[in-house]
Amino acid sequence: MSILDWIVLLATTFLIVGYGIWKSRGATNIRGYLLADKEMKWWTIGLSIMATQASAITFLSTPGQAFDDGMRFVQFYFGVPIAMVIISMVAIPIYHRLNVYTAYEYLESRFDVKVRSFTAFLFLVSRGLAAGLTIYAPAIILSTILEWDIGMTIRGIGVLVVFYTVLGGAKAVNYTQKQQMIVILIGMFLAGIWMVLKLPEDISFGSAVAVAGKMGKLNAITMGTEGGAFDLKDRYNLFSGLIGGTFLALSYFGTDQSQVQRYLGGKSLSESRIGLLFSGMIKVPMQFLILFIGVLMFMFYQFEKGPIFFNQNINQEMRVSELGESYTALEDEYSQLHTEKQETIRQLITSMDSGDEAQTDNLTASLKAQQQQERDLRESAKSLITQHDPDADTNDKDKVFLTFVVTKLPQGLVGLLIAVILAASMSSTAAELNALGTTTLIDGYKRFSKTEKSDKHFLNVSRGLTFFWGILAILFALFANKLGNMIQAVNIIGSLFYGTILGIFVVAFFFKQIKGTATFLAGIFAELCVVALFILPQQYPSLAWLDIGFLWYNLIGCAIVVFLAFIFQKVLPESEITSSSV
Amino acid sequence: MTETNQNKEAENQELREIMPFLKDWNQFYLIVLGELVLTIILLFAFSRFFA
Repeated sequence: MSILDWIVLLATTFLIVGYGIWKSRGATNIRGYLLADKEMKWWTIGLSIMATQASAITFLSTPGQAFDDGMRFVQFYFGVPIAMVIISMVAIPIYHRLNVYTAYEYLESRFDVKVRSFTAFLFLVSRGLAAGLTIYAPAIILSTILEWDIGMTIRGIGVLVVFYTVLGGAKAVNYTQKQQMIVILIGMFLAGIWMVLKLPEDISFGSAVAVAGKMGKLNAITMGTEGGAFDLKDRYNLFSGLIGGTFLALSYFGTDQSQVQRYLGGKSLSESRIGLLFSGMIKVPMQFLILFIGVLMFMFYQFEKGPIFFNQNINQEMRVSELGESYTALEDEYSQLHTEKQETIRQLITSMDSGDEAQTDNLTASLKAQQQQERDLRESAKSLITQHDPDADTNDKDKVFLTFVVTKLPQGLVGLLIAVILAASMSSTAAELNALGTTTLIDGYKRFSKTEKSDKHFLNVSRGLTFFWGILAILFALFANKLGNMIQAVNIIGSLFYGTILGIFVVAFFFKQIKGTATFLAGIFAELCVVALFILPQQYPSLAWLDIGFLWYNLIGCAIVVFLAFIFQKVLPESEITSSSV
Repeated sequence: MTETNQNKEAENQELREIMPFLKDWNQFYLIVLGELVLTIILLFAFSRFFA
């Protein structure tokens, strides 16, 4: 990185953090510290919700996802607007009326303390794991591509985010997130513009998009039936997005404290609702644009030769390894194929412009065959890498965008895009630490505290707990092992717990006759079922038929809780059933 | 007017104070869901057009 990039990166990062600390100075009570004094306007809430969800992994992985698999990942977000409407109608009025600090507090007034504690525990486990990952995932990519020390990168991101989150609480988180989201949107927009400007002079934007479509990259809507019958293992299609995505979004936005805390800080019920709905309206178009940037990057690399594997350090290592000759031969073949493919693309554009459909079909078929050849060469390169080092990370999807940023963008813009990634990482981590600290305080320490204590005492404990979770997240990140595609890893961890948590809240909101003990037992059984469903197919090949797309775990976990809670409510003796309700 | 209806009207009034062009919350919800349906239709057309 050049000096200009460093100036842009450091100035952007520290100005945002400084602004957040300045705006949040002087928190003297836990209401101010945990709920931002309930004075947030809807646009701050909306941007804050978006920034919490959009972690650095979103901006690193999503363009790579489109580069590799096309745009169908956008369907994953179709459930978000539906969930936002349901949460606005059902959950927010209850949270506001009860004036709660956490979503789980409500569960005690509706059921009993054991349901509240169990649900808060599930949240702490899932979010505690994810918090480390939201620091680790961008750090490993930044350190690989920029050759930064991984430990220093994790400590750098971690210490800064812990510092302002502990100091300023929810207010600092919300104010920094607003600025971070603005920088993220500007940075991504400029990167997209740059890609269009850098297409060859004889290739128009329209032609590039048309070719991307012919190469199967604009597959924004898929039915999951591409292989014949509907495939439950297919992760992203219209139905998994609308059904599984709705359940995931309901759980994440309605019951995950890192999100609930964002809109609980709203000045009024309306400000909270509008903020949530506003972010729901923006979400799908925003993800579409990020994925479209991935498609533009794909088109850019059709005319500019990219590496066979998007990790130059590994490429260099392979060239001088015992397999160097084979690897270089693959690279040469890849380069030759790239030249041939360019020629086919140009012929295809000419053919499309002249309206010759037969010729267009022939050329499209040739292009697809070349694309398959290219994929095979990349797979062969990955096999050689694994042969050379069985522990090497051969998943380069997450590194495509950052490689592009570092090698193709002009000075200054590189710094801004690295700032975008850091901002995204910090915004998600800050919200998670804030929520983890709040839940541990409100649903743990304060709930079970036997003696009366001052507000100042709870404020200090809250800061201490946020600090504790921050240090834990940094330690987790420092010792995290290799992971697969990172965005999916975060979602899988979430999906293992979210279904059960959502099921408990669904029972709470909609089935007033079901009481605490029945819900508690149903929650435990459901969680065991979901974890078994995740683990068993991996351990026993004979149970491979149980292997389904992780988005379905949300629906299954939720359905099991509701179903079993009904059964338990019927069969449990009266004395076992708690009668509290709201 | 029942208490529930009064609450709803108060919520709608609060919404109108922030967004005067909206009538009530139901209208807002319809806009959000309508936008989703429109987006899916447009994306479907987009996919098929460029396929």
